[in-house]
Amino acid sequence: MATVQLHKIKKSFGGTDVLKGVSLDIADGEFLSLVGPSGCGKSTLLRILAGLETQSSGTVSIGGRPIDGLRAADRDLAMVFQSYALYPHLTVAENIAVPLTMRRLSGAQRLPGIGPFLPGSRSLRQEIATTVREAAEMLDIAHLLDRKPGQLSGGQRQRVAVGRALVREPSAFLLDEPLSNLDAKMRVHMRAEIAQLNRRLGATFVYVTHDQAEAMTMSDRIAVMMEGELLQVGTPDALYDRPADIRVAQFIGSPAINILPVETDDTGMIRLYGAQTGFRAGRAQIEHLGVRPEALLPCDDNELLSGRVRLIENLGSDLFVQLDVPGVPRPVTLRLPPSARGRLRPGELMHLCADRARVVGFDASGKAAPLLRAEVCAHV
Amino acid sequence: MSDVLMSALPRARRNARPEARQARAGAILVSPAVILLIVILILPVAVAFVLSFSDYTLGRDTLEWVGFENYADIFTRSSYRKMIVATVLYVVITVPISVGLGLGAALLIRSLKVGQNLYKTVYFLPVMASLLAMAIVWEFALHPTLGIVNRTLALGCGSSLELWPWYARSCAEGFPLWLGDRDYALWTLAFIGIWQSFGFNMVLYLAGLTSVPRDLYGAAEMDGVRAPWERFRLITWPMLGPTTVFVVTITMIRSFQVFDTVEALTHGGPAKSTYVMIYAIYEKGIAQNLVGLGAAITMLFLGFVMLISVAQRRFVERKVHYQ
Repeated sequence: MATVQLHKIKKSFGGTDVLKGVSLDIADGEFLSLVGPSGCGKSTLLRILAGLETQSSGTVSIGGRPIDGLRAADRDLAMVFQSYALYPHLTVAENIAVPLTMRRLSGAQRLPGIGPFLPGSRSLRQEIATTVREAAEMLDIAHLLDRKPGQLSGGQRQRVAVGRALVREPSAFLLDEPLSNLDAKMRVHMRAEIAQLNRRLGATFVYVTHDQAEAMTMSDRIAVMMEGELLQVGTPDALYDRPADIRVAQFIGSPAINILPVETDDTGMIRLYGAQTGFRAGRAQIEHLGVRPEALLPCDDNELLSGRVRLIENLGSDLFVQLDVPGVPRPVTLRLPPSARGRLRPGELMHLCADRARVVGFDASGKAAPLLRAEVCAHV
Repeated sequence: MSDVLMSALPRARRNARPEARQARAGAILVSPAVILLIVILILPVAVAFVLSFSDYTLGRDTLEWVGFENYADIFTRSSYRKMIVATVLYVVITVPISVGLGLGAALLIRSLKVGQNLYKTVYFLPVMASLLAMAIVWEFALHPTLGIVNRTLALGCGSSLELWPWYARSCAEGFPLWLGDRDYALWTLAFIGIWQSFGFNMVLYLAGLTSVPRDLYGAAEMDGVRAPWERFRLITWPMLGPTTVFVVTITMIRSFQVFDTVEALTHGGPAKSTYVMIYAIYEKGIAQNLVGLGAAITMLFLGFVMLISVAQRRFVERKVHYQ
């Protein structure tokens, strides 16, 4: 069990910078997700941490000790690959045993044929078999130990890959999109299991995914990466409610946050399509407002915006309504309780106001900027 | 009455169950292939099989059935025993070495950062060249007195190479007549065979190596596999299993078929030490017009090839496919 520090990691392939100086501290026992769109460098960062790739510059430390010179085999980390990377010619038991035989048995004891008859080999092999069985029982795959990976379902292979990772109790687990090859139902199931595993083992987990829902449901903290940079690191709540960057706001949450293009006039008042929004800019000019679908409410007075109903999506538990709003390029989505079902018609005009505490402002560079309430300022 | 029956018949067939209709269409579609297979492959083998029990020669009108006499000849006469020994020895020498070299070359080439294509081309050149033409080049190179091989070897005389007893003896008594000495001839032919064929095996192994998932090597590294040899044993070799079965089978069959070099360089000699099967078939069945005997050797040859193919299917293929 250990902390993991990445300090100013840079990586370039040829002329392209894949990682542009990423620094990240991961606490002992923490479940940290690296999330971002594909090609943002998150898998490369994980492979650098694992030692399968070398960084162009920067330092990786585990438990406070720099490990840049160490080979992957010596870093005491375990990794679960997206493709599971099981050895297809070995049984499940042999697959899970590989990390143990490689570390506990000597080179001679590993030799096929004579290896098992060398002194000490027998008892070590029995120990390994016991450890493998315990791991398999924990993951509920003990009945599959004699099968080959080719005979297993996707979910079962996933468990074998996890078993191979946890069997030697590494200081941290690295998981590279482990659920992306599973069907939707299995994914939700394994999501819960992996999060539980983190709590039960108390080990540090670094989890790479492009699926924000996985990151939100499983993690203690999430690091959002885009174009080789960390945009924000924080708890799922912080990322959802207080995104530091407009790209983070857009990436996290489904359906996506509503981004309203606004103008800041000479007096600092923020206007949407010429109309007052009830907000003032703090320091910087505000160019966009972000409002989550559930922070918008239908109302008659104090309106933030109005638009015509374009589409009503009924999910059973929720109702998502898309509105065409003049001046906003994308339809604005709002979430309503299912009780509102019969009352809306497409084409109908709706007035919306917002839960003011939950509106976020972004400046020209896309960074979050303070918003003030217009009435509060009027009293001063 | 009979008219009614006749006209009802085609309709009944048209209304047959779809399975039957499909089966009929399938039979029609597959028939050209079946006919060709019979005419080109099965019929000639059957004819050869029948002729192997006769003393038929080309141009003679009559033939006599001699029963198993041709086969008895093969298994009793010393020249045919030598034929089997030479053929099997050639295969046993050529196959492991050319498969091993093919794998080694493929692994080395894969590990290169630059120059992969150069090495691929160089090693593949002998495969593309006509073996008969290459055999003539080898004949010059291996000429006992004028050949570049023996001349180069002679340059080493007087150096520390003479510590090797064979070398010292050769310096004193002359270097071997590579193709004219019965102790060397088969080995020399096997050497040319290996030189010619391992590039082909290398290409097959290169193709096999590209299909090994890269993640497996990453997983092995994470699992604590440090030594290249362990990595080879854990991943590369097992993953190349299907390729190896194919390469070994192909190389074996090709080695059984060796003919060009024998015909060009040794004509089965000296003292029948390179009297391999295909050359024997050619000599008996065509050159000496003993078709019955040639057919009997052909049957034996087919038996060998069939044995290899069946062995490949039965014993190996099942164990090396993991899905």
